[in-house]
Amino acid sequence: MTVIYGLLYAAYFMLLGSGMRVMFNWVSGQHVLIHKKTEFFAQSFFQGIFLHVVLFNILQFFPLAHSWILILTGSLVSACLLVLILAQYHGKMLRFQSIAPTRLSLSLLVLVTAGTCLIYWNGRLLPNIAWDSWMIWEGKAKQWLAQGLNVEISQWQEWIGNPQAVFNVSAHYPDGISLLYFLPKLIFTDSNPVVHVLALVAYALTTLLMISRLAKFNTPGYLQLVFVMVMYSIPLINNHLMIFGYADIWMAMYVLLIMLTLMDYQDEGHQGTGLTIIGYLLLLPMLKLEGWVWLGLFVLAHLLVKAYRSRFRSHLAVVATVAIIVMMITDGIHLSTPLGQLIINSQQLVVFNLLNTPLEFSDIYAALLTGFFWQNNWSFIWLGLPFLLVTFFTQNQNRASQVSHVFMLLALLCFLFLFFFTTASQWARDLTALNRVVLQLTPCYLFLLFKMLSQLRGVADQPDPA
Amino acid sequence: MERVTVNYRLVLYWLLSMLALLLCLWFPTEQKIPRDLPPIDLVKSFEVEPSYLYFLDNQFHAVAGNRLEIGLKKKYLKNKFQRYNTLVINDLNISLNKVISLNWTLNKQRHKVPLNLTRTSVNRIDFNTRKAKDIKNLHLLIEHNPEMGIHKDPLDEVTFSSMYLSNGHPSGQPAVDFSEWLDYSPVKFNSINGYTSPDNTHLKKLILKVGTWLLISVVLYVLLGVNGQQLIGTLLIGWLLVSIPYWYNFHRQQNQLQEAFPENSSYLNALDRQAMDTARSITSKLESLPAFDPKQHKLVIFGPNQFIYLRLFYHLSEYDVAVHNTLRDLSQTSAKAIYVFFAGSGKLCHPAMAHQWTYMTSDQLSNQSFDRIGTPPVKVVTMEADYCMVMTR
Repeated sequence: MTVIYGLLYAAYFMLLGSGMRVMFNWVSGQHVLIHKKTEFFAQSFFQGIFLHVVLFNILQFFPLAHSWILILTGSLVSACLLVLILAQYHGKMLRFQSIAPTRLSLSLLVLVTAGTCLIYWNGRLLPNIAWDSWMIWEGKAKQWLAQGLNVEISQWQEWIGNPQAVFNVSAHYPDGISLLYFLPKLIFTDSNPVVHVLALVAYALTTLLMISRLAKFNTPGYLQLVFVMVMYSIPLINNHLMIFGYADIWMAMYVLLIMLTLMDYQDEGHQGTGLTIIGYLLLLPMLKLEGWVWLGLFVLAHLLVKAYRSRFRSHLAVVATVAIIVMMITDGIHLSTPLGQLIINSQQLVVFNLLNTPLEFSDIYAALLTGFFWQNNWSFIWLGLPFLLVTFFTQNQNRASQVSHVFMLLALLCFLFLFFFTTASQWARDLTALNRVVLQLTPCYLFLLFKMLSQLRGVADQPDPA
Repeated sequence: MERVTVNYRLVLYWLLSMLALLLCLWFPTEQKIPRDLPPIDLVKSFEVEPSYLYFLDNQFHAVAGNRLEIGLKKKYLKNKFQRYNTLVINDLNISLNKVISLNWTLNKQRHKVPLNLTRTSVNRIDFNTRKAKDIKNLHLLIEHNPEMGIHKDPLDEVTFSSMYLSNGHPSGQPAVDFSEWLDYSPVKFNSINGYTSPDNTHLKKLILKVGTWLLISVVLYVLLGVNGQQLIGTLLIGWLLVSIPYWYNFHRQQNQLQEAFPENSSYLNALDRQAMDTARSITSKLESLPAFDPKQHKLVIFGPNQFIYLRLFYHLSEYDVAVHNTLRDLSQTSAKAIYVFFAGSGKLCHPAMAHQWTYMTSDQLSNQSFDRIGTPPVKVVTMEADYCMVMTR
């Protein structure tokens, strides 16, 4: 039954996302052309999660009884269903491109399902052992269930002086993932397995989206099958799906989704795709504190590619060089803004209230080499990193690929900087932080690696002349 | 004609690539050690109570509870035992909730080598000394791994047919390598960070060997100009090779989890069961208190942010509960609260001690004597064997 409940919960997100998407197109007077059903429903699922998190964050402002929350959620589901029905039968909004399932697409689906079942097979036996889950994500949902969704959750100092507040050690963590636990907790007796199934569905849909995008690069079928096999045999990822409850796997999926959607946007320039990217970007800091780092990196990658392709790029390069020289002469930046201080110099890095760390070199080469290269089978694929970096510069890339490459480079540089020069080095030594960053980057890296492989001599399928 | 050339290149690519793979896998990476030393049977040197070790059906049976130490008496070992570099256990059958290690002390420093949990366990040993007399307290240790689950009957048997020290394995280095690569890495609370810890990278050599082969194959791909599909085939073989240990581990994991969590319980481990029992006891005490109002009273568990206290917090989270371990903060609050103290801090519930910590602020302690303070602002609610509770008046 748990599996069915989990699948129903996943269907709820798909319904929310589809409804929102159709509604947007309806308002903007466009048709929803669905090329691939898997792609449409996968994107709708992740858009649905965004909508759910935002809506429930808003509901937290109101002192609503749980029954009211259930009524509102039910109404929302009904409204989405109604929009889809009306769109289909009256407005003819949805247009499916009739694509018959091929042997390849069926094989891929079977492989993804088999991988998902295998992880569930081991994971279902485990209780909720992930600290972050029972303490923060599920923990907060449990507190909301007992005290109400709008109860203020705070740390000791605020809690002890406020009779209305409840305590949580990690009260300052964002509520995004906790909100995924809340609804199942409200409806089912054992909510954790339901969210576990949800995470497995999310990962399966991420894999399908990656395959879809690889197919657009003319990646042959056998390579797509190898890709799925690799996606489901990396213990670092599988552990996060098995011992479910840490935010890193969600971060990994959304970082990847943003990269894929950004590529779609560069290709098609569709307004709805642009809004989807903004939604996904905004969701990152709602899932985990360091989400804003990824957000910043994506924005920077986009701007850099835009600047590179601009006709004023030489002017922009001069301005950037001058700015760097001025910074070096004046020993960095020291700004006081309404958001907080921005200090960048050789001794200190302060970015508003998000980061405040002294800058000092730490020798973490050994941990870094171990984290990337000497641990388990995922280390084997990272041996391809130098080849990938070389192809960034040697192969001709379209704008969509350029953005993803610049993002990957920026992400690697950013985390190398954080580990070598900031207090983050203390977590790099025991591989705790290092492996999580590796995890968050692994899907993106795998995608780019397989894209590179499909560009090898004689590998890519011949593009459809149509 | 051209087609023949392509096939020739293809055959050459795979021939050279497979040769390179065999060379990489079997290339000796260990320092050569003279094999003139005969193996030393360790069983003869065992020092353990007979009831804990017996021989039956050609197998040694070690009855291991939570911890079984089997001493290795040096007088039964040869003088040069420190020169041996391999410990072999044949037909090892050990519960997946147990670990076995070789331990000794050298220059007052403890050394511990976890032994591979494979049927034929071949382990590299380096005693780090040339003098046997420097090695003290040499022993084998079989321990229960309590991290995962509540094992109902930890008193199970570890069996093996022989155990000896040797220089290398008769089957050569591959036997040592395979034992190391197929070693069982059970899932742990911190497995979320990967299966391997920074000081136990037992797959490093495999990755290096397969990675070197891959590099050679890339060079062959460039030089011979074969189709990219061949390189992808090479990559696939490489991936399968480095993933076999994981899949084998994954399969054994299933057996261990079935053993560790047979009843699909919500307890994380034995410690969590203890926390749950304590939480139930606290709940029943609170519910029986007429003065207790869940909407007004805050419940404070006095303790650090450690597993047992945080789990207690989790099990009690239907109340307005917190975990805190700064006594001064408790004394300075005006909130209506119930404080829960555990074993070490249980004395804080006694009236005399309650006087002290509830008046800890410096001005109150310096200006007033205990006589003039009168009754403390807290009263004892309950005194249990493992915890006590006080309530603000």
